[in-house]
Amino acid sequence: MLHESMRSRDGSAGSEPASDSPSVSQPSADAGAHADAVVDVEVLKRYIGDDAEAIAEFLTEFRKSVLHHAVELEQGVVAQDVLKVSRTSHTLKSTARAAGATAFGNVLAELETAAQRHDLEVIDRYYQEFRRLLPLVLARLNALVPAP
Amino acid sequence: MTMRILLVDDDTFALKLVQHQLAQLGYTGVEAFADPREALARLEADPSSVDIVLLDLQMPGIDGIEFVRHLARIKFAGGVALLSGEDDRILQTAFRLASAHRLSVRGALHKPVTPGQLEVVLGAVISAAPARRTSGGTRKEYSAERLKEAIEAHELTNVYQPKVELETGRVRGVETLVRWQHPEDGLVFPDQFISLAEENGLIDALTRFVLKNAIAQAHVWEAAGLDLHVGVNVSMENLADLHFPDFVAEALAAAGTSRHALVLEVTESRLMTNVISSLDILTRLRLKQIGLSIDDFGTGHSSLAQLRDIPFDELKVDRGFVHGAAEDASKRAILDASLAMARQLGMTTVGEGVEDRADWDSLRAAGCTLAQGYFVARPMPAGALPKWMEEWQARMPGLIGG
Repeated sequence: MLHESMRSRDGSAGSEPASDSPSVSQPSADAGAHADAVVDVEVLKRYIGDDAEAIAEFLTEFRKSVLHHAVELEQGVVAQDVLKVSRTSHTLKSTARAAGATAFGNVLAELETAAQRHDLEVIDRYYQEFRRLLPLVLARLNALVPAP
Repeated sequence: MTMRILLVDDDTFALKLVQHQLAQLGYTGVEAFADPREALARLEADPSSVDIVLLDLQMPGIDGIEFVRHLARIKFAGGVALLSGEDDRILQTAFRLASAHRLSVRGALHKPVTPGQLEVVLGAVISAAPARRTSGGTRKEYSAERLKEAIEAHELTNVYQPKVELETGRVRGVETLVRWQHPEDGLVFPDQFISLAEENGLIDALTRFVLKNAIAQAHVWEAAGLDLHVGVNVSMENLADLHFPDFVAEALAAAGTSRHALVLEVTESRLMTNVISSLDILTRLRLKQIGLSIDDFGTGHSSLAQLRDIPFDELKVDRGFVHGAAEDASKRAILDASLAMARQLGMTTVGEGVEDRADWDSLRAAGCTLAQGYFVARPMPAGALPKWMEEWQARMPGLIGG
């Protein structure tokens, strides 16, 4: 069932972002201030249409994908396995962008690029940003489609 | 006809997303595979039962490039569209690689893909389908002997795609393309017989046939008061035949067509072999006041040297640097540089592959002279041109204003 907040633009996204986060295409400071900047359902609608049931289904699928790939990404970063970091961030990047989590997708794009360059320092910097955005994205998804 | 689509993507979200979009667009014949090996096994079992493969590039096990290689191995005759979250240069390289395998590549799309993009790619398959397929659903292969008969029996026919001025909208010319009007199979597209002609020594006869028809048509347009340059593609074999310039001049004289009405389009990569004879022939053609155009510019390996050495008067920027240039900084940089060089050399510039308004606007902004592509017009028989010109007149003000 689609949560009512999916139709409104005033949902809460959770805690304020850290002030020293790296800059990405969308200013991360906006992410906490506006829930839609964390996961903008209007973006998803452009890909799948305005059917509430389908939107709920895709947001649920996105949440599953985030949870799965977050674990993979952590494993990759800890093991300094740049191939794993690159592949995981690559896959989740497109999914995040389709689901309307644009800033999250942009951070994943930066992670993918850093991993392709074997730049562990930049990987670490963007992984911290990923970890900062992760709870915001999940909180927003839970507000839109309550977890089972 | 139900289009049979095979979708391959290891990512569950992406797979579901495209399935959903296809269902919304009304495509019901979709088979989706998260495992590329399973998809390949399915295709190997019955390749002719699939019209198009929508293929992710980044997959574990078999990646998209390996998958493309397997499609070439099994001689897959349907369409292929690449979907990827990789950057544009990788996507374009994959596109070129698949094309080099002689697969029918219908598009290379960035993920996430919009329904509109899918519709364009699948629409291209539908429009190509009657020509590509016989009633049995497989790509028909023709013998060299049958093609030779077709050339002799005048079964080949010319179609013309307009080139228009970006500044004023004026129709400046057309490019001649060839179709085979097969008595049983209907319209057969060149991707099904040009290679056959090249491999069996028939390309020279084919080109000369098309050229003569185009010259005759140019005369008809001249007599009707239409000032149109008629572009004709010439083959590598033509550029190895030292008598070719005389043949062209004689054909023009016999038809009573002005020499300046003809533009011979030479694909850049074809100039690589036999440089001396190419240079001899092309220079003599220019001395005879016949226009020369360098086609698909940017796709070969010696673009700059050829611009320096050969007296081309028109440069056609390859579609790979035109379509989507508005959103892609790399394409835009190559487009701008190509146009700037051509202008320095006093050449007319043409943007190929103009498929949407954004392509049109970016070419206009870049100062390109002419546009050619589906956004302007699809190739058409000569008889359809006057009606299209009327429609274009009505559409033009909205494209050149502002």
